Amino acid sequence: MKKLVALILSVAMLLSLVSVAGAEGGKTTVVFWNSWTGGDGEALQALVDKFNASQDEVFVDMTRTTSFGDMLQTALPTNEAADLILLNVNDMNRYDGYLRPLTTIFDNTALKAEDFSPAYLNMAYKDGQLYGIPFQISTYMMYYNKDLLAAAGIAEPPTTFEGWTEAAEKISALSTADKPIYGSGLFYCYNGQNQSVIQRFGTDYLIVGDAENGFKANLLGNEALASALIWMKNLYDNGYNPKERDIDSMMAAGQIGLMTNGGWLKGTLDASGINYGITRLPTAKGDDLADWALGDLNCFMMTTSASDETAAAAEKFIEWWFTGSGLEAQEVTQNVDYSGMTPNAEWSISMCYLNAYLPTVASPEYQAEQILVDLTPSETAQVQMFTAPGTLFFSDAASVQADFVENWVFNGPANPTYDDVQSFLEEYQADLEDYIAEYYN
Amino acid sequence: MTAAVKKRRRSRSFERKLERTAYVFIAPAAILLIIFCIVPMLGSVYVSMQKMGVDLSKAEYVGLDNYTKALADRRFIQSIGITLRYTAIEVPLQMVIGVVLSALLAKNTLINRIMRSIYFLPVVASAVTVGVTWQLVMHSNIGIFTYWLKQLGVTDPNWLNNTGTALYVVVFVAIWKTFGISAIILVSAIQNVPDSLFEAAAIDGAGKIRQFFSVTLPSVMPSFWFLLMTRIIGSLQMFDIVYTMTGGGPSRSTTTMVVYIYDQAFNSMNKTGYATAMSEFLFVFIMFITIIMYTIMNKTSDY
Amino acid sequence: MDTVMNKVPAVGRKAPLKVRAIRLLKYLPIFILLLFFAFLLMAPLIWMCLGAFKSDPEVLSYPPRYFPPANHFLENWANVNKQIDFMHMTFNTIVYAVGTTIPALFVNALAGYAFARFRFRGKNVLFLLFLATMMIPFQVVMVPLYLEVYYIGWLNSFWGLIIPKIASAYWVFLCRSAFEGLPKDLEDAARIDGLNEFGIFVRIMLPLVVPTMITVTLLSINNCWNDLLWPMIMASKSSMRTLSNGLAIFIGNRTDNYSLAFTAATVSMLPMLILYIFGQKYFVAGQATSGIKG
Repeated sequence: MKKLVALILSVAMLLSLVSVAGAEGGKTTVVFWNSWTGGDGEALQALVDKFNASQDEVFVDMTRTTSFGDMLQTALPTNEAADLILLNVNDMNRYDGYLRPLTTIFDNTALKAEDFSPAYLNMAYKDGQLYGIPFQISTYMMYYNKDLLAAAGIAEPPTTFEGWTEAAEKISALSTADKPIYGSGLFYCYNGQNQSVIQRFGTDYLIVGDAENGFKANLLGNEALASALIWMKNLYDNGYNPKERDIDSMMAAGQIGLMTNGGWLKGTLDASGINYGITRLPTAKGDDLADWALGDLNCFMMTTSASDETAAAAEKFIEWWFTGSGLEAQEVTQNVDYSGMTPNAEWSISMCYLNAYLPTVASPEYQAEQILVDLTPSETAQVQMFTAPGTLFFSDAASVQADFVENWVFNGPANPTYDDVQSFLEEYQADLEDYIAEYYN
Repeated sequence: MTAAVKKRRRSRSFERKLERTAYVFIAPAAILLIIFCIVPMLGSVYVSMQKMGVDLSKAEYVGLDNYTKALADRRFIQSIGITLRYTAIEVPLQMVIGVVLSALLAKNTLINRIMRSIYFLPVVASAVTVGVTWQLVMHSNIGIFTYWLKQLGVTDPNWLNNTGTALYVVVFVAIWKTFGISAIILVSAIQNVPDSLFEAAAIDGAGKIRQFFSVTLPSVMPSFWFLLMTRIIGSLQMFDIVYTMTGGGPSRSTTTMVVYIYDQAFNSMNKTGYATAMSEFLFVFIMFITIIMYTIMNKTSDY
Repeated sequence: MDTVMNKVPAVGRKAPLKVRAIRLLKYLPIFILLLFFAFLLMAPLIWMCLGAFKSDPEVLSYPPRYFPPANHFLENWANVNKQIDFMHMTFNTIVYAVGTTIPALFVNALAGYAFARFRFRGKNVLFLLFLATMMIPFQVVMVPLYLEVYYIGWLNSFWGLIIPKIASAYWVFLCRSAFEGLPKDLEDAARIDGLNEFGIFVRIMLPLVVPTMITVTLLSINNCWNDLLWPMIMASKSSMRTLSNGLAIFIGNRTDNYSLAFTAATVSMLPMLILYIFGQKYFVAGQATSGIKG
């Protein structure tokens, strides 16, 4: 018993000894949460460390976590959440009332509103207030394994989806008993990838319209969507595409010829040592379709948990992100010297993310990356992925898409026709209409 | 031998004193549970009657709407079916494996101790690690298990990605992850049995098998009931392994109730109230099963 | 209790060599079977541990490569430490796990004992109420619970992390089962000897269920060690980060750096494994002090 009491006492003492004080005394601490775990998070961490070492006024306390949504949702009502977050611009409505306008950032810092591409910056405005500064545009691109393409006798990566299928057939033929190889690597359960392909078939959003005139589900009677689905299903049925959730690993193991993915895969592939290339995704007819944005916009946003003091400090960090200096070659994994560039340029160029900051876009280093130049949409482009701008239930619509694509590809009828697609989609069209009724009633 | 004790009448004041002692003993745990479990649960009942998202102040009272909506939600109904199927397979298997292994491993020989350590390893690994490791090991094209299975001549060992088999993989991994807990609890229960009981039985002329049924089994029964009930409760709330290993797929075939509830609460807009209402259904259902089992348990135990 | 001694020599006494050999041969198939199961069980974890010594492409190479051509562990380990403060996180985790487990043992065993050995009004209702706390998914009560801890003022402190986790219906139930298995005349004898109820609990009953107490300790520490969501929301400051959340950083949504994840996971499992092997020793020691043998 005495031992127990002693133990409890010693634990209590230990508890009181552990100080929870901020990591750096004298600095203003900006708490910064995001969900950038995995490959690209490492570079983000290095950049934040660099910022913290570069000056002695602000300390950015970054937490990268897979529990980002849970943490935010729990902590926001008590104003105990992070001061600064990275958020998909579509989620702005979701955290309505808990985001702190950033409009004054252009008065307080050297940043200028006209330096940001209006197509993207406008997405972060709501009721005349600016809530986000574009951090990255998570663009989808076509990754291809150069060695496999060469082995299959394909000189150039395909520019049409028909070409994709042909290439996939030839590459899949390289498969051996010991090492299965697939020409095509679509996840099907991964709605972002699906959508990047569906868009390039020339479909409109899954939900069209706007808040004033009403929204409409756009699955039935959507010919381009039907062609995309038929194309996906045939790829799978012919054995050119594996049935697997984790195709990134197969790509890194050299088992996939072509796939669609974002810049976050790049780090993994660089480390894997496979010989790969990146280019624009094909289109149905091989024409341009440049005005389709193939990715989501993520922004720096501030929450109502930020005080005036931390908000000002966070603005300094954002300013540094666009105008400061990046890492030395030895500090980054990819062994390229980005030291002449801003952190924003380094992030965007090394990870292959489209940039909304015009000085970066105009820089010679950015212009030297052909893929980024190719992907840059025009100023009037629609820059959304799943649903028309302003749709409240964007995440529900996105998950309905993953549902029907996966179900269709794995369980739909063989050799499908347009009519098969229509009867299959009826149920999902009804789902989307239910959501519309629910949110706009 | 205990008959005399059982029949002895205790005085009323003594009974009262014992009753008071019982309340005092229970008080610390009860107070903590009321503050940190019951109160939040009552809070969740309130939430379940709201249409709300993140912002509590914008909540809109909708009465039982969320409940009626849940009953009409085909995905929710589907997730109930999946959860029940999961529980019906997982719990009996887990119990049988746990009992057999703990009987084999109860003695403190060196080999048994090594075996017990090995069987406990998966318990030690975190759910996130387990999910990722199994996902890689069962990977259709680079997994080492699928590689072995192919070497053994299995034609389509893509069990994790086939709609019909994914749930069984989840069951297998869940048992793999937790049967060490069942085993350790049963082993410690067997070891709790005082030797004097075995000796008394031996003096009465009972053989090894008689001893097992008359001494070991009755002493272990409470722990067996404990395991059965907690496994059922745990299985009906299956979440972590599914979430890290399959994400509920393929084609929602492993989307259990809690996975669906979680998805609605945290990935969808203004569904916090709705998700909570669905979990109240889960609560009532678990409560119902627990009360039935508790009644049976009390009939089989003397206290 | 002297009779215990009579049984012991059965183990120590040497049977003739031939008899022992036959006994061993008889046991061999069972042993091989157990070993086979053990291997199957271990395979994914062995694979994980081997992964800690590989570079990422080697983890993913196909057909599988069992052993890495060169040891990459130190390189991986350095990389892990570049991204997370492993030592500090381990310290936080130890404080959380030990701070929760010690009071939990006491509080829950006491309640479990009362439920097992006393007769009192409202016992069934009270026990079902205890069980009810296990029946709602944590994700659902998370927000109300968070608000409560916020109003108490314990956010981002070890108090907020630990105190709500002390009482647990699971441990109460487990302790109750352990105490129920004990013969009934024990406490009556002690009462006649003049011990008070608390004395009976501490001196007579608790020593009899040492194996279960060890089990509770091991499992409770293990739960805290692997707990993900609770420490994350309750102590969101990075200085309060626990190990399991540090590990989660290596496992992204789509891109997994397997060799780093495996390195961090392997190292973080070691303390728990050592604790378990150590705890097993006490399975026996507990019996020695209480005069019980398995």
